[in-house]
Amino acid sequence: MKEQSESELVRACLANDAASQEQLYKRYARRMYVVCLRYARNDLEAQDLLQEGFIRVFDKLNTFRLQGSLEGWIRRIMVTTAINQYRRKSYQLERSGLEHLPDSPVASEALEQLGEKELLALIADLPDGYRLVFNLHAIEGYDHGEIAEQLGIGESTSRSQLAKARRMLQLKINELTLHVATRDTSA
Amino acid sequence: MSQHEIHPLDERFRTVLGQAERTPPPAVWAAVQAERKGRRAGWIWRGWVLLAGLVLLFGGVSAYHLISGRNARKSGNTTLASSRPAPIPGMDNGVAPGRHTLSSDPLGSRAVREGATSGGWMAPTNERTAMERYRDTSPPQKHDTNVDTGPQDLLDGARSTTEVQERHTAPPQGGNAQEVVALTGDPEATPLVAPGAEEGPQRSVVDATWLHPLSPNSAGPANKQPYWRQLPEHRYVIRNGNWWLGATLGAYTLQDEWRGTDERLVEALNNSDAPIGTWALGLELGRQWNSGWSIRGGLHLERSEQQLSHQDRRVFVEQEITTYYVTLNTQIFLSNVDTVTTVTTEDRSTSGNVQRSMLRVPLEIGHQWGLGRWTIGLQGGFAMEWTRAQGSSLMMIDGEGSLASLPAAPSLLRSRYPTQLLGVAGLRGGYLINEHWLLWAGPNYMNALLALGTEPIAYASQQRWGLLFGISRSINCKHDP
Repeated sequence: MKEQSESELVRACLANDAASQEQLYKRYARRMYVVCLRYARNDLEAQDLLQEGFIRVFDKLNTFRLQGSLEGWIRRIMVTTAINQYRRKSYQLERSGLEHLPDSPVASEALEQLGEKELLALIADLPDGYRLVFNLHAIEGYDHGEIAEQLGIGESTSRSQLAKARRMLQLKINELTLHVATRDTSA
Repeated sequence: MSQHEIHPLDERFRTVLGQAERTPPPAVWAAVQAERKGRRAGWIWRGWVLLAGLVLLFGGVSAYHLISGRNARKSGNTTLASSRPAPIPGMDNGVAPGRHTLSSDPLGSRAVREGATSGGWMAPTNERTAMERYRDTSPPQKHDTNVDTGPQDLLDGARSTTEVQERHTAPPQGGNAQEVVALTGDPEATPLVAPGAEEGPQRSVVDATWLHPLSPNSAGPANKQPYWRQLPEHRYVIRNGNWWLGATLGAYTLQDEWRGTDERLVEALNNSDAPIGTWALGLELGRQWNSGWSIRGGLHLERSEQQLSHQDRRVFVEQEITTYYVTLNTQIFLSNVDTVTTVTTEDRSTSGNVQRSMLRVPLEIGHQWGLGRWTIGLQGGFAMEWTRAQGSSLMMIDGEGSLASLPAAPSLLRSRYPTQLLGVAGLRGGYLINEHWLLWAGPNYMNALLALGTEPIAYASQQRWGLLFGISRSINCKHDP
C-alpha cells in the first residue's frame, strides 16, 4: 500500500476513514510514546497519556492547518495533555532538601555510558514538578517564561525546579556510575 | 521558543531522547478506538435525551392548550363576550339613548348593573325587550315567528350572529311592530323594522353581545326578576401573579470534594479526582408575583460518567545482615557485618469507571427585574439530591492497610455518594417571547451543605458550576370574566 502524504492522511482521517486513522497512529505512535514516557512516572501512565493524547489528536484534527509539521503539532498535543494531567498534583509532591547539596558535575564519560533506557528511568524517578520543568526546558526547548505561563507558576519557580532536577539527576548518575565502577572492580 | 544556554546534561538527554522511538502496546490503539466510539455513542445518547425533553415539553404545552380549550368551549361565554357591540344607525356610537351598551370589556357587566340602578337601562314600560321575550316561554305569536329566538339558540356557540340575522330577514307578517327586534352583529346591517312601526326610541334593539348565559331558573315564567338582576357577579380581578411551567437544560462541571473520617483515603481520593462534565434535564413549576418575587420547584435528572485509572506502587524493603569471617587456621583473622538492603517495587494498576445518575429536587426563591422584554434576576435556595452510582472499582484501603483499587460493592458505592442537601445560587437573564413564553439562561452554582446519614470513612461532597438554560410558559395569564 502506497504511503500517503501528510495532507492526504489528514484529509482521509477527517473523512472518518478508519484505515487512515490507524495509519496516522502507527506512523507517530512510536515517537509519541517516548514523549509520554518522559512525562509519566511509569509505563502505564505513559500509555494512558498516549491514549488520551491521540483521542485529542483525532478530535482536533480539523483545526490542524496543513502548513506546519504534523509531527510537531501532535507532539505539542501530547505535551499539553501531559501538562494538564500533572498540573494539579505535581507541586503537591515537591521535595525539598536539595538546596544544600553542592552542584556536582557529572563526568562526560559517565554520561556517555547511559543509554535511552537508563535516561528514561532517571527522568521517571524525578518528582512530578521537576520532571515537567526538566522535560519542557531541556528536551522541548521552552524558556522559563513559556514554562511559567504553561504551568501557571513563577519564572523563578521554574528556574529553581530545573536546578533541583539537574542536581538530583547528577546525584543519581554519579551513584549509578559509582555502583557500576565498584561492580567492575570487584569482578 | 527562545535560544538558551545548553547544559551538557540537557544536551545528552535531548540527543538521546529527542527522537527516540519505542513501540507502545497494541492495547493502546484498541483503547483509542473504543473511547472514540464511546464518545460518539454518548453524544447520540445525549441527543436522544434532549429530543425526549423537548417532546415532553411541547407535548405538555399542547396537552395544556387542548384541556384549557375544552374548558373554554364548555363554559361558552368566552365566545359571546369577545364579540364587539354593533353600532346602530341613527345613534351615536351605536348606543341607544337612555341605554348603556355592553362592550366586550368585562367591566361592562358592572356597567349594566350601574345603569340599571340609575334606571337608564330599562326599556319603556309599554314595550317588551328582546330579552324579556326570550325568557317568555309562551307560544310565539303568529306575527313574530321569524324573529323569535330562544336563549339557547343564542348561547349555542355553533350559531353565529349572521345566522340569527338571516332569520330576521323574513318580513314579519303583521302584528305589533314594537316587538320586532333586530339582532345583528353586523354594523352595516339595516335595522329591521316592521312596516308601520315607528322609528326611534320605541324600537327595541338588543345586541347579541349583551347576552350572557342565563341561569336555568331564569327561563321559567314564574321568574319575574329582570335579566340584569340575574347577571352573574363576575368581577374583573387583576391577578397578583402567574403560575408557570418550564423545562431546563443544564451543562455543569462537577467536582467531588472528598470528606470523611479516614484522612489518608480522603487525601488520596482528592488527589486522584478531577472535574467532569455533566448534563442535566429538568422540569420546573413556579409562581411569579407582580412584585418581582418568585418561587420555583422542580425535578432535575443529571448523569455523569467518570473514568478512573489508579496506580498502586508498593515498595518492599528487606534488610539482610550478613556476617563474614576470614579465618586463618582456627584464628579469626577478619570479621565483618554487612547489611544488605533489597528494595523491590511493585506496580499495580486498576482502571474502571463510575456512572452516576442524580435526581435533584430544588426549591428556590428569587427576584426579577423587568427591562422591557428583558428580565434579569437572582435565584437562591436549596435542593435535595439522591445519587445512584454504579461502578467497577473504587479506591479503598485493602486488608494490608494499603491504598488499592478494588471491585466496589453496591453498599460501598452508596456510602461514597450519599443523599445530600445542596445550596443553590444563580443569575437569570430572560427574554419574553410573548405574553406566555419566556426564554432564560444564566450561570448556576451548587454546593453540598449536608450529607444525610452517618458519616462514612469517605464520601463525595459535590460542587457544581455551569450554565442553565430554560423555557417557561405562564399557565394562567388569562383573566376570568
